[in-house]
Amino acid sequence: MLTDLHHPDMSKSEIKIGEIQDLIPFPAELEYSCPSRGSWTIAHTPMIIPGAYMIYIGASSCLRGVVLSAAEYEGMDRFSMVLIEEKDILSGDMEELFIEGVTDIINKLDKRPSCVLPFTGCIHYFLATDIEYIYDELSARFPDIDFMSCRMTPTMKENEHTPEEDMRRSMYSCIDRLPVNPRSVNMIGSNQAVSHTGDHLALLIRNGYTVRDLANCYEYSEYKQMGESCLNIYSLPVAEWSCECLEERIGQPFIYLPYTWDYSEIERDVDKLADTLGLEHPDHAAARSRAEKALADAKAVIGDTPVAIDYVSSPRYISMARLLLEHGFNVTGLYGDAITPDEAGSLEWFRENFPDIPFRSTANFRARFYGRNEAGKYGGHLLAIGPKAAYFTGTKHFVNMIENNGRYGFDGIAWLAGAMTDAFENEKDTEAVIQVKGWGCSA
Amino acid sequence: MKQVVRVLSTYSADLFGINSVLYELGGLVVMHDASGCNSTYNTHDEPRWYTTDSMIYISGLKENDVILGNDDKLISDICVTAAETHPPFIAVTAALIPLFMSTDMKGLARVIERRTGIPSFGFTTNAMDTYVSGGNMVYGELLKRFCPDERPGRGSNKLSVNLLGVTPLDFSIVGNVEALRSYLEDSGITVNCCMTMGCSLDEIAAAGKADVNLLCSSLAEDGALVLREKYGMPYVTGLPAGKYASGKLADSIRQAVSGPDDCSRSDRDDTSSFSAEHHADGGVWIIGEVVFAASVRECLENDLGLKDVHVICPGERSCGLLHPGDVMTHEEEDIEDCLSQASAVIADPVYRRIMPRGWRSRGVKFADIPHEAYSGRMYRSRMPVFIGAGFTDILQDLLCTQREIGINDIMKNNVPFAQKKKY
Repeated sequence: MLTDLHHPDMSKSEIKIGEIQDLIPFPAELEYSCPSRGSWTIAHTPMIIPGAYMIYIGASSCLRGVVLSAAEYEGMDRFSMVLIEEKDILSGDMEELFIEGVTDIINKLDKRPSCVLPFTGCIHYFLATDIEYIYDELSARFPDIDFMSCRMTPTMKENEHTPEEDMRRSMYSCIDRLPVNPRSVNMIGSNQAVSHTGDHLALLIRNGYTVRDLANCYEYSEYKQMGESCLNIYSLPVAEWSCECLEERIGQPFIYLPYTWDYSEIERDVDKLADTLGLEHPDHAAARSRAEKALADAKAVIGDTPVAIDYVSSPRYISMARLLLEHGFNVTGLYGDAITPDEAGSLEWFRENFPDIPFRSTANFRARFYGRNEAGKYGGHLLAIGPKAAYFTGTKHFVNMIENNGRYGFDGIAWLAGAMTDAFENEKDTEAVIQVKGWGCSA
Repeated sequence: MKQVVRVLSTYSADLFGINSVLYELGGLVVMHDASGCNSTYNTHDEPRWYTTDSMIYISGLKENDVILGNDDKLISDICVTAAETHPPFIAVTAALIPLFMSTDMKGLARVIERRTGIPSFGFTTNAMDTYVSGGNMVYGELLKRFCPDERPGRGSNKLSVNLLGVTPLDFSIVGNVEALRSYLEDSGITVNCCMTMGCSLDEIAAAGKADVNLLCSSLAEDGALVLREKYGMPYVTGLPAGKYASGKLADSIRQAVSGPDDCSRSDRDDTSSFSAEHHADGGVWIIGEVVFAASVRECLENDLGLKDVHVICPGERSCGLLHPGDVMTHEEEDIEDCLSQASAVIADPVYRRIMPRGWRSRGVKFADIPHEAYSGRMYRSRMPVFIGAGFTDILQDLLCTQREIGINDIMKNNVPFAQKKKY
């Protein structure tokens, strides 16, 4: 069935990158949600905690998305709900429903979970539900279970801390202070295990450090053992608050090693890590030249094929685009709705060098009307980096990259070059792949 | 404990039912809720989202707007979008927080209509009722508003029907709608309008050209009642699922033209007798949308000779199809109780999780019939075409072979990062 939809003013959802003045370049209007679903949500991220059990308390429509997410990654055995009804809003008994509902669920579980993550929703905060009382009572009833207070509060997206940041805070909140092990370091915030070949982890492993990454923990005791680490490292901005909280609560210092694609920044950051731990600076030349060679090899294969990049692929997607343009790749478009402040340098570089490259919104209502056939204009030969870029360009050649895929530094650049070559040479079933919610998640 | 959902899922919500009905009609449909909440509908409840354009949006409600009651932003955003896209109508639905704020959805729609000149609807949904409730809201309003008071002339001399309540939530996109059309055409009955898969707003406005309405799901009961009141159009409730029903339904449609329709009962059933405390013990249980479930019962009883067949209706409407011993509930506790002595269950595969311990060893049977409004997209490849005489054999096969659906469609395409299970 074809529906006649009149096309809106597309100039309002696309801007030349050189003209971007604001880190949120598009107005807040009605929002579109494109079918690309690879990013992990709050229903996925807690699954990396071994033995964790989620209980959501909310309205049916709010919970449908999370329960079906759990069902899709075969995680229903780690998931329950308490449904709010209209009478609960009027009665003022939200605390009782919460406590008794969670109690009933835990008591009927076949297996005792190591930790339980109850999720409050927006409604609890607007009703001023006594969250502290709820957790005091639950902890008293189940002293053998760790409770992580979690929130599903999408109306609070623009508050001091976003729901995604709060999720990261919650999931590390049951790590307790242990005697410090000066040879143990934690990676904080990644859903996919951070690659051990990354420049930072390679440095640590070469120097005999134990690297603890929740994504690699398979027993709850390993999660608890993270309390002994002498340093927390994070690379995703959403994990910053979590690290701040860990420092305040159990005294673990932290360091930010962003997923940058800038050579000098990588070297500076890895050296910073070495300084923090009192290690010798590594010789970056070899890693740098491996990255250069990988990019040159990829360019030799990919040539002038148009490349489109989205914000899902990397928190520093502007910096990634710059790297590729500097190495001769033909970047023709970027897809994003916001830019992080630490991309300011790359943005300035674009203003001076490639100001006309289009920057397109993915969520503005007009995004529904993109042609989604750009790849067709090039005989299907368009390479996308990120699932949203794949959807909006209509290509079958794409790197299914989400939050950097745990790849860091020069090693990450070499990996990207290889993944681009592979994507160029091999088609993917775009429709099937990008609609998987929480790519890589399992129970 | 009531309201606790320990092992099951939830049904598609009222506002998603509205989206689903309106999806193909070219209108501007706005869910008044927080950013991100639209992905539930788009991902799990709307199989057309990837391939068929439709203007289903979310308002992006934020905390400040809640506290300050900033309806102006919603109105203004809708007017901006409407000015650029010229939709034939605008619909706004409410999620939980607007309900909590007592947002006047109908008042909002009036303001929007005044400002844009475009027919606008405000639906006081609550995000807690099922898609059946939302479907009835929208069918009622749509037909009241767009069907002229004066009945249009008949389209042709052939007997014709409107199909009411057809959405992917109950029929998916696996061939049921096509099979329904074929069945009617083969029976010498023309389809005037298939509401709302494969029809236009103009065709809906011309619903009065048909002779009879066929109520295909409980989503459209109010729509059938509106057309009966407006034009005196009779309606027939049911689906040609299986041999017996396929033989009978076309005759029922023909009889409805000349005689009283099958809804001579009161317009609203008294559903109090279908509370869980009155449930039947043992027997075969079907769980699902009531028109579908009643059709499966008809097939089991008449084609396969089974007796003692009962229905659990999780939606808000029974459409006069329930029998003594049947239950209207979506409470997990009630469902568990009903199924505790069942000899066989026909339901979405997720309901396997609520079966009593040891049910397999006791010889209890379970036939998987995935339902998009319940388990969403994840078992779509295993949804049967339940329209037509062939459904009898499909159902018999499901009951005999006891084939279990293994890994779901989405997980088949996923590549887990973790090396082993974490629970």
